[in-house]
Amino acid sequence: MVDGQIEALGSGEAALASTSAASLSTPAMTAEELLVARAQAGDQHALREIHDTYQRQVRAHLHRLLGSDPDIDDMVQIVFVRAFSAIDRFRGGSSLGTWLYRITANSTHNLLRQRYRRSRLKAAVHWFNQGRKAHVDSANLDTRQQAESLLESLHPDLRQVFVLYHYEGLTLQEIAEIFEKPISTIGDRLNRARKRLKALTRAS
Amino acid sequence: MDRRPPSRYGCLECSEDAEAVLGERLPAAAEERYFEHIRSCPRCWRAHRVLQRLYAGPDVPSERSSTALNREFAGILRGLAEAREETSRGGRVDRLGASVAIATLAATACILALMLIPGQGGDLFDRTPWVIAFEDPDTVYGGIDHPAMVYGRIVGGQGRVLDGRGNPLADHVFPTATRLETDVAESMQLQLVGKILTNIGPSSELTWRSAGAGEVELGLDRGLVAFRYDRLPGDPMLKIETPTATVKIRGTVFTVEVDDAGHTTVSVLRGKVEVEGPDKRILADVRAGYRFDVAARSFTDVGRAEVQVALPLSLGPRNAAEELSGGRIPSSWTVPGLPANPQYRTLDNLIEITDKPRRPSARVARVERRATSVLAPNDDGQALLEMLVRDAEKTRAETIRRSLSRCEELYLSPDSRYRSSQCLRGFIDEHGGDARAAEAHLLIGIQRMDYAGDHQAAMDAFRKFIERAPDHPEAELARYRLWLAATEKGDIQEAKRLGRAYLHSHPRGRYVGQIIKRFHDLASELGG
Repeated sequence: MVDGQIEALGSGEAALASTSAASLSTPAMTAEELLVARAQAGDQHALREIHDTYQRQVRAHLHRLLGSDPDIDDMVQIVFVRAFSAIDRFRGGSSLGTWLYRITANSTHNLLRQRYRRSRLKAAVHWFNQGRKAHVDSANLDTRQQAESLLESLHPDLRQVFVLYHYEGLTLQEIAEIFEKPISTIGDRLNRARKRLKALTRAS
Repeated sequence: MDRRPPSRYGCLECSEDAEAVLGERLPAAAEERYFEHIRSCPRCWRAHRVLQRLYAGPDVPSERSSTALNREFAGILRGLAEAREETSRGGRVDRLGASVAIATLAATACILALMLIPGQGGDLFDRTPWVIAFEDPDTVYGGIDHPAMVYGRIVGGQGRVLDGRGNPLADHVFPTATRLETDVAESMQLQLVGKILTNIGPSSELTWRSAGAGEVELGLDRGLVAFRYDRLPGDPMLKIETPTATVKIRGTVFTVEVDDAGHTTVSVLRGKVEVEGPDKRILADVRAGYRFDVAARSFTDVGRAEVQVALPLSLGPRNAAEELSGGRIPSSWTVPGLPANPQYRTLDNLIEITDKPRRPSARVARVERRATSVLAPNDDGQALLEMLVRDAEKTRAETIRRSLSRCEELYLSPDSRYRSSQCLRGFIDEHGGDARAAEAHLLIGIQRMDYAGDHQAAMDAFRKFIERAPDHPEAELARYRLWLAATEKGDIQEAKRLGRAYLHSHPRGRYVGQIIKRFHDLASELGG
């Protein structure tokens, strides 16, 4: 009887289940599209997969952008919370990685501006308090610290482009997509960043 | 003393070439000249090292441990839940937000001014600008994760269930592409994908078109249908297409009516519904308490017929202070003209304000079971209740029999079945300690599952029943229902475990086919 029951379910039920499965996923979908579709449906496993795949990229990018910073782990969480909150609006126009770069850029924009203003102010106060001694101090810094410090002195817009191009290895086209700006603007920012860094290096 | 070689290649040229050297774009001879210069010029050497470091970038932090990643992901989920909660609160605090923003700006200006004055306690600039604090809101996530969830189920009432080719289905469980029809004296209650409770009013034709991770789509050709969808984060959107409109829902209680002329009316009792025209342009956002006539583009108050057809979907959460199954209209529903006192929130006290003529067929008829019904839907609970009453008459005390008879009266009518929940709860309160009354837990579980969509409460009740009466003749039904509740809840691993347990306990059971239908891989459990 049991066999009979199973047989009765046979091909018809199998077709039924495959129809249901088909409605969940289209065969033409790439692995990333499928992952995004699952994430958009609120599948926690998919969210976890996205996190595991891209957390290293996001963390490394934040590290390159912000330098050694105790807030980086919190920033990684913020980037993913923002990404997952907006996953419904991800239309697949770019890769998930590029999209995450965009969210990282947006999430750090204010922080970078804030720090940029602060570093300028700090430098001014330092100069005012210590006069010429400040130059002596900076000469004693090791090159790693000095490089970090110089990068911090770069305007946030220039810094973002410089980091994405030189550290993340993205093309100008990809960076233009991330910031939704023309390539010429991105190219100009990159040139300005290089010139500024060169000048700062010399000045330091 | 200047030790640099007498050459035209100076610091300026070196500075110009630095980038090209780092990018390995300089010819060998020029590169040699560059390095010769920096070896003899400490300033250029240092500049070269700094630039080299700058272009190399900071060291990438080492890989995090899996424990740290687990902790981080848990934090992300908490942050996500918090963000969603804030978004839902956002609308309410918009006005307040404006004044708060002004105050915040003023406060920020003061803080910035203070920051310019160096303090005694160290550098103010080194303070972390913000602190992230996550709460643990115990968010429950929904979603359709497995094809086993993509089924509908008839939980009460009478009507016809037809497959995609128009052939009648002889099962109370049905897949997508199923058409559901009721005649003038019928109504039918359904549950779709374990999440959407639906009451199809008389003379209605509804087609379940598709269900996917992102959307569940239905088509209403005619009639009056009520929906209740308590959507969880991750659950699909519900879309209902009528001949003249598309109704989109993220989670609410509402009705859609298509009259004989094909005109669509959407009424909302809780939440908000978006109505689109055939050209996909948004026609209206219908809020709770309003009825929107698509053809006339006009709003009126919701009426008695809509409330009446939605009432079977009114079963509240199990711990709610207000038990909603007694025929009372839930206080969460916005029904103009209804007294605020919960005691008087009944259909009889609902004054029909609108003068819109009602179709005679749009009334829910309370009818006896009809021999002409094509489908005798799931009657597990009814058979059990009848058995209980018979049993009580023979062996149990008069009080138990009386209590059960009252519940049976409500349960027998397809249109009042949902109201028997309160009765059964009273029965459990009164006789719950009596081992002979364990069956009431099973009935309560069925009620919670079918009319409240509260699968967790149902699973608790089924487990309680199995624990108390493991050898009861209906233990098989309880094990099946336990599996079904886990499946519809989306707890697929638990459903598979329970499915296996059922197949081991009842390899020739009544529900083997139902389990294999949804989980083909479990067929191997019957291999022996």
